[in-house]
Amino acid sequence: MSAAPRVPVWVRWAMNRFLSAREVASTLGELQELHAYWTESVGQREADRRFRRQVRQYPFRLLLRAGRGVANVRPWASLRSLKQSTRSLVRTPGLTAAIVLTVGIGIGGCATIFAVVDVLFLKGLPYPDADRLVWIHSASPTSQWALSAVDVQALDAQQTSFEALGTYTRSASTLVTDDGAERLVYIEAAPGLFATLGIQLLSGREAARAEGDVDADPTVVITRGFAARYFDIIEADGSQALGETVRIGATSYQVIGVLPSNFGPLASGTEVFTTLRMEPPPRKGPFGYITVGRIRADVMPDVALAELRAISTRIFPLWVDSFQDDSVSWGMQNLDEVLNRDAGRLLAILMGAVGGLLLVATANAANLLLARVAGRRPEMVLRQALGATRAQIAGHLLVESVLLSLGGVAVGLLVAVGGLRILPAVASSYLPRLSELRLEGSVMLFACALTAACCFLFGVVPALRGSRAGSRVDGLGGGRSVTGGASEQRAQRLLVAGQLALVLPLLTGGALLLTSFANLQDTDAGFDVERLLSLRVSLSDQAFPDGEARQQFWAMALERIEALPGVEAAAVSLGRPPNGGFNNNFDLEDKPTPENQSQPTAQWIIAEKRYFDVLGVPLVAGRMFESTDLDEDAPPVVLVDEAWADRHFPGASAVGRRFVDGGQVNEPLTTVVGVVGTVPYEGLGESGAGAVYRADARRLSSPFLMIRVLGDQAPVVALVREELRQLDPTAPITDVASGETLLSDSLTRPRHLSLLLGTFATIALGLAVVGLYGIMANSVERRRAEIAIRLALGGSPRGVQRLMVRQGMLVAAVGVLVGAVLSVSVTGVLADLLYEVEPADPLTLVAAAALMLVVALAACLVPSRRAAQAEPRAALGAQ
Amino acid sequence: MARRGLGDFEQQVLLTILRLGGEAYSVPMVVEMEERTGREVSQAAVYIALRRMEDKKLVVSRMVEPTASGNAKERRYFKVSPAGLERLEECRRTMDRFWEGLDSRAEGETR
Repeated sequence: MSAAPRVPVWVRWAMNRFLSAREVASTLGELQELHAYWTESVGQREADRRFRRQVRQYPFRLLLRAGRGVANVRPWASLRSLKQSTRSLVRTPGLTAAIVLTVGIGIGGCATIFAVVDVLFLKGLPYPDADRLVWIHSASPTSQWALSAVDVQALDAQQTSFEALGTYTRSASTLVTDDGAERLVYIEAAPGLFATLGIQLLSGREAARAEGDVDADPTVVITRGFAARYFDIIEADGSQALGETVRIGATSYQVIGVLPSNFGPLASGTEVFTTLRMEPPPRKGPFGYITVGRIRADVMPDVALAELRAISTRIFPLWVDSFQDDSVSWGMQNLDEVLNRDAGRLLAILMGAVGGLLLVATANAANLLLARVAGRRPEMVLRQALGATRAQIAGHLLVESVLLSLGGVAVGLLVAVGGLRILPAVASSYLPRLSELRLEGSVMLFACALTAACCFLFGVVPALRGSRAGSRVDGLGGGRSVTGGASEQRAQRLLVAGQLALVLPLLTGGALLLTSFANLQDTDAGFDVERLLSLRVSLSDQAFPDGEARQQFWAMALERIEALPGVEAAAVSLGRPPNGGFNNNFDLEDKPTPENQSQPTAQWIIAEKRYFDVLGVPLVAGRMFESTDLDEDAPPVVLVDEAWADRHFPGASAVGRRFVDGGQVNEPLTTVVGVVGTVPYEGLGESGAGAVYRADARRLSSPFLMIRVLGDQAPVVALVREELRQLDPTAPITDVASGETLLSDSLTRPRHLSLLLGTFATIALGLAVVGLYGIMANSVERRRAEIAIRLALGGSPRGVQRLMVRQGMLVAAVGVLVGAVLSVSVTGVLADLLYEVEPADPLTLVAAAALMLVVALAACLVPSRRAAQAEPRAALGAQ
Repeated sequence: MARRGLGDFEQQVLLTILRLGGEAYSVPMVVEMEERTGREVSQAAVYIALRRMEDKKLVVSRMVEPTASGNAKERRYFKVSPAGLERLEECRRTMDRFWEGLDSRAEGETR
C-alpha cells in the first residue's frame, strides 16, 4: 500500500480549530484509507490528486458549518448574550474606549484616504468619456511643457486623430467692480475647450471659432457663482447675465455663456473664461498654452501620438530661426495622470501609516478579547456541559467583538466625516482634486467592509479558542487557567510581537520625516527671513497701459513707501522665494547644447537692484545692476546665483559669460554681469537648477512688493495699503505674507506628514506597550506559585525579576527584530520626501528600536517587580 | 425552526448507510456513493453532512477502536436513527406524489 500525500500544515491547523484531536486523527485516517482504495481503482496519480483536493476541502467546509451554527443561534439567546457582553465591556471602560477609539481612528483614517483614492484613481475625471482626454505637450527627453501658439495653430490645422481640441492659458489682471478693483486670476480659453471636455453650459453658448480671431469682439463665459456675485443674479441658469459686460483690465468682455459653478479639476476655482484671441505668432516660443485633446473613439492612442510627432517634425524647419532644439517633439499623457500628479505615492504612505495603526489596534483588541476568553474558560466549560453547542458559544463570544466593531465603525465614520471636511482645507497644496471629495456610499461601504474585516480578525480567533474549551478537562479547575493556558499565552505573545513589529516602521518613518522636517527648517533659506514683508500689487492696464507709465508709478510708490515709518527698504520683483519662480531655457555661448539634446533651464526672476538689499542676498562676484542697464539700447544683462554658476561653470567665474535667452537667436546675446547668493524658488531644500535675474522689474503690472521692516509688520501693512490707495485707488493688494509665513507655507507638506506619522506611531507604540504590559501581568499572575516556591527556596527577588523581564523582553526583541526588517523594506517609499536624511538611515532606525526597547523594558519592569516582591506565603495561600 | 425536508445529498448519504447494512463509516460510503452516482464524491462533504445530521438527531455515531486485524486507526461509525428513517420515508412519499402519473410521459420525452 502506498502512503497518502502529506496533509498540509494549514489544513491540520484549521481542522484542529474545529475538531478534537481524536476526531481529526480518525477523519484523516479514514481519508487515508480511501486513498488506498483509490490507488487500486484509479491509480496512484489520480488517488494522490483526489486526496489532496479533498483534504483541502475540510477547512472551508468546517468553517461554513461553524458559520451556519452561529447563524442559527436563537434570538433570545443572542439578546441575552448581547446584554452580558455589553455589561462585560462596560466593566472595563478604559480598555473598551481605547479599542473603540483606536480602531475607529484607523477605520476613519483609512476611509478618508480611500475617499481620495476613489476620487483620483477609481472614479475617473468628472468629464464624460474622460479616458479619451489627453494633455498634448511639448516633450524633450527630460521634461514636458506646454505648447506654443505656433504649435496650437499647426495642430489645429493638420491633425485628424482628435475629435476636439481645447486650448487655454492662465492669466491674471484686475477685475473692475463697482467698489473699485480686485485681482482676478482667470483663464483665456480658445473656442472649443468646453466642448472638448464635454462641459454643458447652463445657458448661452461657447465662443464660436471666429470669436477666437485676434480682431474679434472680446467675449467671456462666466460661472454661475461669479454671475451671482458680480451681477447679483439669482435665477438658476444665470441667463440674465448674458449680454452683460465684465471689465477686466482695460477690456470690456461681453458675457456669452454661463457655466455650472464647478468646472471640474482642470481649472478648479476658476470663474472667468475669456475667449482666447490668438495673435499670429512671430516666433516659435513662448510655450504657454495648455492643450487638451479628445481622441476619436476609432483611433488608437499610439496612432494619435504618431500623428502628433509627425506634425511636430513637419513644422520644425519652418521655425528653426527661433527654435533649434530638434530633440523636442510633441507627446501626450492621459489627463487624469496629469491632474493626479504624484499623489499615488503620497496616498500609499498615508494609507500605510493609517493601515498600520489599524492593524496594531486590531491586534490589541484581539489580545484583549483573548485574555477575556481565557478568563471565562470555566464559564464556557459549564455552558458546554449544559448542552450549548460550540457554535452557540462561539456566537456568544463573537457578540463582544461585534459590539466593539460597531463602536469602531461609529467612531470611524465620525473621523471620516471630519477628515473629509478638514482634508481639502489643509492638504490641497499637496494633494490634487480634494474639492471633489464627498462622503459617498462607496466610502461608507469601504468603512463597513474594513470594520467587518477587523471584527473577523479580532473576534474569530478568540471565539474559536473559547468555544474549544470543552476539550480541556482542566477548564473547570479555575485558579491557574484564569490567566489562560499555554496556547493562549503563545497566541498573546505572538500578537504583541506582531504589534511591536508593525510599530517600528511607523516609528522609523515618523522619525525620518521629523528629522527631514527639522533639517528643512534649519536649512539656510538664502535670504533674511525676519522682518520681511511681501505683497502683490496689481495695476490695471487701463491706468498704466505701458512699461513707461508703470515705471513712473513704481518710482513714486517705492520712494513714498521707503519714507514710511517702520520701513527700512522696499523693492519690486516677479518671483518670490521659496516657491515662486518661472522656468526659462537658455543656450550658453561657451557650451552650446549638442544636437538632439535639450537646452538647460533655470528659474527666471525679474528683480530690481534694491531687491537684493531687501532680501539680504549678497553679491558674490561681478557687479550689481546699474541704472544704465535699463536703457532702451543697453545690451541685455543678468545676474545669476551661485547655484547656477556652480552648475554651469564649476571652478570658474561665471561673470562675462553669454547665452541665448529662450531660443531667441535673432536677439543680442545676454551677458552675466554678476553672481549673487543662492535663493530657492522651487521650494525649500530643492536642489534647483539655479536662478537668473533680469532687472526690469519696475515695468511689471503685478509684481511682488518686498519690504524690509524695522519692527512690527502689522502697522506697516496698513500704512503701505493707505499709501498705495492714494496713488491708485483701484489697485488690488493680495498675497500679503511675512517672510516666516512664506517659509512655513513652503513646509506645509513635510510638517503635516511628519505630524501625522509621528502621531500615529505614538498611538501605535502606546497600544503595543499596553499589550506587552498585559501579557507580562498575566504571566506574573499565572506563575505566582512558581515564583513563591522559588522565593521560599531561597531564590533572590532580583533573580525572579530578571527571569520575568527576560521573558517579556524576548517578545519585544522578536518584535523589534521583525520590525527592523520591515522598516528597512518599507521606508524606501519615503525617499523623495526626505531632505538630508537617507530612508535607510541606521541612526534613526537604531534610535527608534532603542526607544521601543526602553519603553518595552518599562512595561516589563512594573509587573516583574510586583512578582519579586510577592510574599511567598501569601502567594501560595492564594493557590 | 429546523427545515423539515432533506437535501438530495443528505438523502443519498442516509440511503447509503442503509444499503451498507445499517451502520457504516465514511470510506465504504464514499466508495458506494461513487459507484451509484458515477462521480467523485468528497469525503469531507460526506463527513460534514453526517455530523450535521447528527446534530439534528437523524443519525447516531460511535467511535470504534482500532483492531489488531483490521483498521489501524479509530473510525466513526454512523447509524440512521428512527427519526432519520422517518424523515427519509417522508421525503420519498413527497416525491412519489409528484411523480404520480408522470412516469410514462417523462420516459417518452427523454427518448
